[in-house]
Amino acid sequence: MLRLSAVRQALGFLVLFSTISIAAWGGTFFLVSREMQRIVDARLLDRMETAIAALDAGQSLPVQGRDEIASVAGDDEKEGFRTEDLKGSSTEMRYLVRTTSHGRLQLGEDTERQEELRDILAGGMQISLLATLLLTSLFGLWIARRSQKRVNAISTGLAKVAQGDLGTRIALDGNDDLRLLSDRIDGTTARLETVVTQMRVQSSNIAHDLRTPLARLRAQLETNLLALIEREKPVEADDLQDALEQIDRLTGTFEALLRLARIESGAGRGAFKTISLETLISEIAHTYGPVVEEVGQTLQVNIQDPQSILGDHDMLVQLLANLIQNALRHGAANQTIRIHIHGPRLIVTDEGPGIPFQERENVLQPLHQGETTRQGEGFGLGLALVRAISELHDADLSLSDGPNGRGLCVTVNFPKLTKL
Amino acid sequence: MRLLVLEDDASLGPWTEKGLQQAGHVVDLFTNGKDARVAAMGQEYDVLVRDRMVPGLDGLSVLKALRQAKMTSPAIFLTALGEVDDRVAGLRAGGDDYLVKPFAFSELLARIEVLARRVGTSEDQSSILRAGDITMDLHKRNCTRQGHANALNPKEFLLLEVFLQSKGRVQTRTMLLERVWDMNFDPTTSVVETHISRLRRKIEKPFGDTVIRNIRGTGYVFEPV
Repeated sequence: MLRLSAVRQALGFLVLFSTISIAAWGGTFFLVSREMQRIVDARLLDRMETAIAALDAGQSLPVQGRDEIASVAGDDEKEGFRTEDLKGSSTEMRYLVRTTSHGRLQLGEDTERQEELRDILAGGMQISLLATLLLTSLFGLWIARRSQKRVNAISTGLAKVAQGDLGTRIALDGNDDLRLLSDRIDGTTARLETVVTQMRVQSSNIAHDLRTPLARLRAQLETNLLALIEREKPVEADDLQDALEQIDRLTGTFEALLRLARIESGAGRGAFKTISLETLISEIAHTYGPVVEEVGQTLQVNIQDPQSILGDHDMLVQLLANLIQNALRHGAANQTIRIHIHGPRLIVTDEGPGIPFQERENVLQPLHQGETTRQGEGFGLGLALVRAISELHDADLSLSDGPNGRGLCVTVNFPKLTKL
Repeated sequence: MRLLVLEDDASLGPWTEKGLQQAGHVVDLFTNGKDARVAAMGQEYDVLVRDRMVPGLDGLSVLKALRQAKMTSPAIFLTALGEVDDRVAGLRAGGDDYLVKPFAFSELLARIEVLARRVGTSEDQSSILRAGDITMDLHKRNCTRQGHANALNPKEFLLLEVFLQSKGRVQTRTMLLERVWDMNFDPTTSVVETHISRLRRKIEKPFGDTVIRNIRGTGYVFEPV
């Protein structure tokens, strides 16, 4: 129980509150008592003057009430005020002794009334302190139990998530910081669930994509081996060359997957440099212009108000290379592939069949096999790498229809370079 | 050439050793880092070929120790796919090149030969490159063959420059991608093939001969007339 933070908090407040109360009430008590004594002393001084005046006038010492004493004191009495317990009573007497021309005078007053007042004050204080402590403790405990229940709900929910049940939601009601926290946790769990589901789909896509060429490779080698054993037909160089190329392709897929994982993990952001989009594009145009021309297509570059961005040169080259490759693979024959730079925005369009709206999110996932392009090679890793590189550069990536509703238009909007 | 190979894999090690021997090199194969270090301290090798992860001392530490002892033999790292990230660490430790497993043997051989020459000739400082009847002026950015000027685009120019600097030695596709296009990934489209064929159209076709020979499955070799 004492380990619960809410209870600890309540206890702490209880101690603090009690200390403050006791200090405040003790102070009040002290001040009130002092004031009462001051009033008694003032009255005694007053009476002393009257008594001296009476003696001066040859009258006897005046005694008004039964609480009062007035007498001529012995020489051993000290001058000034003093308090004495009254014998046979619970009350006290207050005395004033003064030397006058008529000898030593002692005046006294019973302070019973003041003491009664003081006792009432003290009793009231005790009752109120006790009540405060009791009520504060009860309220504190109630609050503590309530927040503890809510904390427990969060803790149980998190434990379930830790056990792998990503469908768990805490869904706390109320309107406080714990609710805010629980909503945050629920949001995070939901995101985690989506990512894990996505990853499962991706893994199965990857397994599929690697299994097929492996099966092909195996079949090929097995055929060669059987031919060699059974018919003593020699293995041809071409067969082995084919097998090697298949292995190279598989290795390439692996390498791209690892590259993707590395980029997605955020590696490389530390090495970002200022890169001129214009220089980058002209470099790409020099590299890919001839490649595009060779297959009877055209690469057109249009640069308007080019800006510099913060990024990794190699990754940006790969991003552009993948976009051009995608356009070459899925575009139309004799098409024009257009690269357009406008400020910090990069736009690549082709004149192919485009990608249906509902498929656009999917093709950005690794090795996604587009329903509409199943007869082909699927989208492989090209666009997934484009997405990962864009995300690493904090750029907005969007796929849309090309001009006139034809072809695919990929827009990568890089964040503007803020001047340091 | 005398080569040191540090590779602990029971089949990859001997395979590399045998291949390099068949290519006419003398090979010392080691399977653990400490022995390799002792050997490399006592004997000058032309090129060191080393796996990143081996028992004893790992390839990186061996190289660091050798570099501190002022041993300058060029080194090439063999790294597994998952260690691609470490290539920077390898190059920083004094490595000169790296090759990702699985690799083609011809790729390893081509890279070893380039490394060995690089140290031997210490890069031609002159801005004029000549090979046979081809002349390149690296400052003026022009290229002539038999006195006829050739208009090459920047990538074709760089490609030819790489060939002229390494005449007679095989340049693999990957090496060309790295040296000419700065691409550390496989662009899958025929970037290299296209530019080679364009370059050939300009520097071979008018003269009716072949200076860039295609070696199937490996790469290209420049053999001036």
